[in-house]
Amino acid sequence: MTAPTNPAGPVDLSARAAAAFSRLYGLAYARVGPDLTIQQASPAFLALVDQPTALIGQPLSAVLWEFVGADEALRPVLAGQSPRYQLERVNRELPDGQIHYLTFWVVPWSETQPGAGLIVIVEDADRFGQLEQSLVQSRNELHLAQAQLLRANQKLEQLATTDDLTGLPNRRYFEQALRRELDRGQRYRHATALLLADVDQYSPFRDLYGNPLGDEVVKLVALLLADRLRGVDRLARLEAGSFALLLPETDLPGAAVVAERLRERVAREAGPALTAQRPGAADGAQFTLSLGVGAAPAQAATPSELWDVADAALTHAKATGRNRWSTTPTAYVISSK
Amino acid sequence: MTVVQQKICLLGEFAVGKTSLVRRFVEGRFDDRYLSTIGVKISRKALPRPAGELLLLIWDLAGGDEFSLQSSYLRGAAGALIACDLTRASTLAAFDRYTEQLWALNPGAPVVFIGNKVDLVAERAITDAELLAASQRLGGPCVRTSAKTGEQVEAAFALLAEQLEARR
Ligand SMILES: Nc1nc2c(ncn2[C@@H]2O[C@H](COP(=O)(O)OP(=O)(O)O)[C@@H](O)[C@H]2O)c(=O)[nH]1
Ligand SMILES: [Mg+2]
Repeated sequence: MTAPTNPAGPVDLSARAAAAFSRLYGLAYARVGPDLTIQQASPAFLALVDQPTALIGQPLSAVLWEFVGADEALRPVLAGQSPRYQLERVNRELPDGQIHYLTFWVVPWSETQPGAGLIVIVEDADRFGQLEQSLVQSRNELHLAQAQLLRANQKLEQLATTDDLTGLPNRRYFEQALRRELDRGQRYRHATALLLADVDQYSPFRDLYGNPLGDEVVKLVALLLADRLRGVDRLARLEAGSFALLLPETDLPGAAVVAERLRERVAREAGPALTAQRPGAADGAQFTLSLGVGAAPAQAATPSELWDVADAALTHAKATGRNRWSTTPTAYVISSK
Repeated sequence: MTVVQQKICLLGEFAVGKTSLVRRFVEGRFDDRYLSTIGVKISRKALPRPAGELLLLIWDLAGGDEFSLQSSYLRGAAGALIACDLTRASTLAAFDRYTEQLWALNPGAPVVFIGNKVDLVAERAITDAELLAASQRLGGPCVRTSAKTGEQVEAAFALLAEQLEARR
C-alpha cells in the first residue's frame, strides 16, 4: 500500500490513516490548510459538493455551507487547543434521492504539528439516522395526539354546557351558574333575581309551521333577550321556547323592570322580525312572552327554592292571560296588567 | 455587487412549523404531512437587498428534544427566527429557553419571534396579546404567519434580514 502524495509536506500517521480509510471504505475527507482553504479532497468528498472542479484553494465555508460561520469554532482545533469540531446529523439529499444524515468531523491534520491544517471527515450515518428519525417521529406524533385529545375534551365540555341552536348556555350550565351566584350573593349580602320566560303558544306554533320555523323563532327571541344585558347577567335556553335569565345584584323591583322591558321588546319586534327574515312563511305571526320573576334572599334561600318561586310566578302569568310577567302569588303579588 | 453569506437558525418546539416555514420561504410550497426533523437541514436562499445580495443559510433544527441543542448547531448564527404554534399554548413558553441558548453562544444576535399556524383560527390557543407580551419581554419583534397560506412568511424573514443589516 502506498501513501498518497501529499503536496503540503510529510505525511504523518493521521493523514496516512485517513488516506487508507478513504481507499478501504470510500471515505469522504478533505484536507484543509491553516488558512481554512481546501488543499486536497477524496473522490467521495467531491460527491458531496456542488462544484467539485474548482475545489482546491477555495475556503471550506464556500465549498460546504455547513461551515459558514464556523471559522471561530475551527480555530481552536487548528491551534491544537480543542481535539475536534463535530457537526452531527446534517440532513442532505444526495443524488440517490434519499435524505442522508451526515456527521462532519474536523480534526487536526497533524498530531505533532499544531497549526499544520485540518482534516474534514464526512461520515454517512444513514441507518442510525433513519432509525432515530422514526423514533423521534413516533414520540412527537404521540405528543401531538395527546394535545389534540385535550382540545377535543375541552370542546366536548363546551358542547355539554351549550345549547346547539342558539349557542346560549344550556340548563346544566345555568343551574351551576345559579348555585355559584347564590353562594356569592349570600356571602356579600347581595340580592339575586331569576327570570323564567316562555314564548307563548310556542308548541302549537311549531306543530302548525314545523320545526325549522319554530327554531327560527327561538333564535330570534334569544337575540332579543340577549341584547343589552349586562356582562354579569346570564341567559340560558332551557328547552323548546323556554329561557332563564340570572340577574346578579338585582332585587325584585329591579328584576320586574327588566321583565317588563323584555316582554315589551319581544311583543313589538319578534313577529315583524320573523316576517322580514322569512317572508311568506308565517306572515303576520305575533309572538309574546310570559315571565315569572323571583328574587333571593327576599323570597328564597336556596337555588331550588328560587327556581320554584320563579316557576310558580310563570304559571301565574300564563294563567292570568299571557304576554305579562308576574312574581309569585304567595309572596307579595305584583304583576303587570 | 457584494454578496454576504449569513447563517440564521429556526428554533422552536417540535411541530410548530419550522420546516414548513423554510419550505414555504425557499420552495414556495406547503406539505400537510409531518416528518419530524432530526439534526439539522440547511437551506439556502438569496435575498436581494438594497445593499447587495444577502445569501441566507437557514438552519432548520430539530426542536423539543429533552436534550439541549448541540452548540455546534447554534454557533456562528447571525440571528434566529423563534417560532411557536398558535394552537398549542405550551410552545410559547419555550421562547425563553431558545432565546437563552442562542444568546449564550451569540450574544445579542437579532431574533424575530413567530406565531405560526395563524390560519387555524378556531383552534387558536395563544392570543395576539400573549405573543406580543412574550416577544417584547425578550426584546424582539413578532410576526403571525401561516406556512400553509404563505401569510407573512416572507415578511418574517425580511424583518430578520433588516435586523442583520442594521447590526453589521
Ligand atoms: N394549518 C397549518 N399547519 C401547519 C402550518 N405550518 C406547519 N403546519 C403543519 O404542522 C405540522 C408540523 O410542521 P413542521 O414544519 O414539520 O414542524 P417543525 O417540527 O417545527 O419543523 C405539519 O403537519 C405541517 O403540515 C401552518 O401555518 N398552518
Ligand atoms: Mg422540522
